[in-house]
Amino acid sequence: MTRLVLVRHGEAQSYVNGIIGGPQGCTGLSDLGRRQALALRDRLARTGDLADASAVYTSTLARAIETAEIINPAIGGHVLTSTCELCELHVDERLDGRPFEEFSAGYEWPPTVNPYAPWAEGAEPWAEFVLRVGRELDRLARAHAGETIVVVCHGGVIGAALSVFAELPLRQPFRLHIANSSMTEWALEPDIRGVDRWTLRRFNDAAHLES
Amino acid sequence: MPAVITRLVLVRHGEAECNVAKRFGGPLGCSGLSDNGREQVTKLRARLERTGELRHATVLYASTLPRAVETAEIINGALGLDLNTDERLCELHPGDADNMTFADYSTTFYAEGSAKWREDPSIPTAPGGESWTGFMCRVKDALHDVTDQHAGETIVIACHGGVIDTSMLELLGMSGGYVPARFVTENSSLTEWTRHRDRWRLVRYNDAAHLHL
Repeated sequence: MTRLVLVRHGEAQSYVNGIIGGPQGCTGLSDLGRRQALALRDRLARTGDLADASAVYTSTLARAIETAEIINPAIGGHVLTSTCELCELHVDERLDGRPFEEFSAGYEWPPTVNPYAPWAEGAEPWAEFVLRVGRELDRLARAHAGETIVVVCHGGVIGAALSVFAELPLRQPFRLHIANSSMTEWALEPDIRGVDRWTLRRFNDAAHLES
Repeated sequence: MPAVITRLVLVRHGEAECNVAKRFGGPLGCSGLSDNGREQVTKLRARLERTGELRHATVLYASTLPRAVETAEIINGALGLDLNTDERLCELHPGDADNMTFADYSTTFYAEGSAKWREDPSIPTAPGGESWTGFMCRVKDALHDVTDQHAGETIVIACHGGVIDTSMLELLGMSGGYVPARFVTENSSLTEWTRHRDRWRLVRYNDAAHLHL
């Protein structure tokens, strides 16, 4: 069985400031975000839940890397591998670092409303994003067959992964709640016919924020 | 007008005696929770008391099966609500397979029953039993009815793995015959949805953190 644990970053400072958090706009976690990541670290250290992790991946955005650095000591202290394939929906310089409200009139939001069009000028369409995320997670699952891997990433990535693994329609007829520092876990194993299938083991487990 | 958001929390029952015996737990086969199951649900109750995460709950339901009723009674120690039961929240009705071991089922009704679900999920599980599609429709209607009746409230339902799977399949849009992904809902776990008009939001699936402290 291959375990893929997707962790959403803690609250970002760019979110607090109402700024689009691309490579320029993202300046890492807020104080609350760091506390959320610490709560996850303490939980993982206590339960040993991800003690068998063999690799930790992150996006290249500061809020994901910082989250991974905080939880890493509790899951084995791995060398972090960062890749832009795991970033949130890409934005170019027309959007990155700009206030959300500047653009809110021109948005088609959420991006699943029309998956084939950019939700704003300079944004990655949802369908391209789902393909990018699906390709990367599939690659990681193959490269780490039989292992447990942790991917510290973004709400969009976790939602896209649900679309990929459960083969859901791109125009998602539902909404998702994905808390900062929450864990969503998938497992890949053969079914009784020997065909590899994904199993959702938990979605948005943020119990460490409740207590 | 403020948005009316309804919160629906589905609790899978603790481990049942019929689960341990690998029997169909319909009205005949279900004899309530095992000792382990009671311990699981007691851990959930302690968690709910500690976190207060369901302190806004106003409505408590269970299916009519003893393992769900017993689960609801235990967690109600942390909720303090009237307990309602509704047969539409039961696990798939097994018909003549009720109280039969899975091993016996596999040599009797299986070939003409669930073996054929991949081709035709409208075939009954056993004589007098429910089909997969019938079950999913029944559960979907029940979840919509209960959330219509208690719009704006927080509803807790002690129910079954099949009911929770169905919420995932129906509300995420996987209700066709082919189910690409699988689910593993643990005993005493929490699955939570919110509903705003006909827009459903998945808040969490299979949160069983209280079993892994």
